[in-house]
Amino acid sequence: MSRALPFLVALLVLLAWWALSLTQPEILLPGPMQVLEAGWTGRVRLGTGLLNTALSSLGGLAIASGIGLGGATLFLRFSWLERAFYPYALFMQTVPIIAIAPVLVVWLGYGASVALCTAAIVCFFPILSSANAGLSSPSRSEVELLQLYGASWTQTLIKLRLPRALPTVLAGYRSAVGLSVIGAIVGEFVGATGDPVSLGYLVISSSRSADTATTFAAVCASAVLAGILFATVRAIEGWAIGAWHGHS
Amino acid sequence: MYAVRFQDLSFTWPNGEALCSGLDMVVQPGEILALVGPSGCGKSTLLRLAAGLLAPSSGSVERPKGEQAFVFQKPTLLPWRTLQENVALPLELVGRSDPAAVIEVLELVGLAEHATKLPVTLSGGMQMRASLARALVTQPELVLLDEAFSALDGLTRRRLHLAFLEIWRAKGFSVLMVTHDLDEALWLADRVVVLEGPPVRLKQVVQVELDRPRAREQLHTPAFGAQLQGLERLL
Repeated sequence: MSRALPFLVALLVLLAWWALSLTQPEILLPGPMQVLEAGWTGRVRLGTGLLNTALSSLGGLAIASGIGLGGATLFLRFSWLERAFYPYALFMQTVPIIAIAPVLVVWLGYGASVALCTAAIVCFFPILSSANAGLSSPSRSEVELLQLYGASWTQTLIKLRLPRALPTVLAGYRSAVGLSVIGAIVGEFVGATGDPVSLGYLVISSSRSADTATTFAAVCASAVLAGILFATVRAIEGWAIGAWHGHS
Repeated sequence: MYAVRFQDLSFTWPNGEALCSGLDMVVQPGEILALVGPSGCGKSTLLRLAAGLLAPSSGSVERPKGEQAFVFQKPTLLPWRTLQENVALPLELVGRSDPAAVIEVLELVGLAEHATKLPVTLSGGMQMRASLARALVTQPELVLLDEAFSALDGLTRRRLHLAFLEIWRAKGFSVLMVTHDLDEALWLADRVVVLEGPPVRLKQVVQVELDRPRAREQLHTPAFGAQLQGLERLL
């Protein structure tokens, strides 16, 4: 029963949406069937847009991973770096991405690079903070155990801290993947030219031409993309830590 | 000859609080020495000083060259590693690989058939035995036990005591152990050092008058009862 609950909720939401759409003009609230129809008609553009937004999200994730994981490792090695830079990393998290995006257009020009950057900026902090917490999570006994056997800093990192950090880091990635899609779409709102087409561009262009059904279809596609990325992280969690994490 | 010697040992915490001042103590080669004392008196910190995990503020902790091992209160097994990988860790860290030695110590603690299992699949007692196997894999001359049996239930603890005494007899290493269980101290040790503090001081050293090899029946003898009462009075 508990497994069926999310599907039941989805069904109820769909029904409510459909019922509500009957009372409103299509331009304000298209029904589920109209959205499906718009999605099917524009499936090539929607599919290409989804692919390009996915590339920006994943590219942003890769950049954020490099800086976030590398930064957390440096913070662990040199605590003064953490004291110096962590407050600014936290500050970056509080700056609204929609305010940064136009500046990025000025610096980088129109194109996919803006979306790549906004995706990287929004998902950088969850990766950095989760890696920072995860790398410091081994117990005193675990650290002492390796110290007793003469482990070097690198050995302690590889044999203890990195595996210990995995559950926390992967939990961070669960947030980061969703944020990377949001970041990419915000970047596309501001910086996309429509060539190549992206989900953010489709949302903006269709809403400007009052094609609300296509707007909804693009929004649904972005939710599907975030869902796929989230499910991928869950699968990696199951594979990498499922056998030992959460049992003890 | 000694396995560990504290000479005029002083240790002060960074906040200025003294753990001990001018402490002298010797662990003889091949003996089991138990440290008992009130909670918070500094027993475990003395063990960390003996292990070299903490450096004395003044005086010295002397150990002859040779392997030493530390067994923590909790098994401290790395959960992502199988038992044999956990046991092999001390060897791995010095660039050695000796699968035969790993299996030998796992056999010694009765866990050879579980070698490829992850710790989460085993009971607390089995995990503690694996932790003991990891301590023994480097053929240590000194084993430090930090309340190593205290997290186990009574029956498992007694069984592990017997297994440990058997291994100790076969291997002949020295043991410095911290415990809050006076029964355990008397049953395992050759000498029991009663501590007081903080700052930690030696209150009395009690020679255990029980024959070796020790057997479960000795726990119920009048001699054991008398020594236990004597220890209880000291605390």
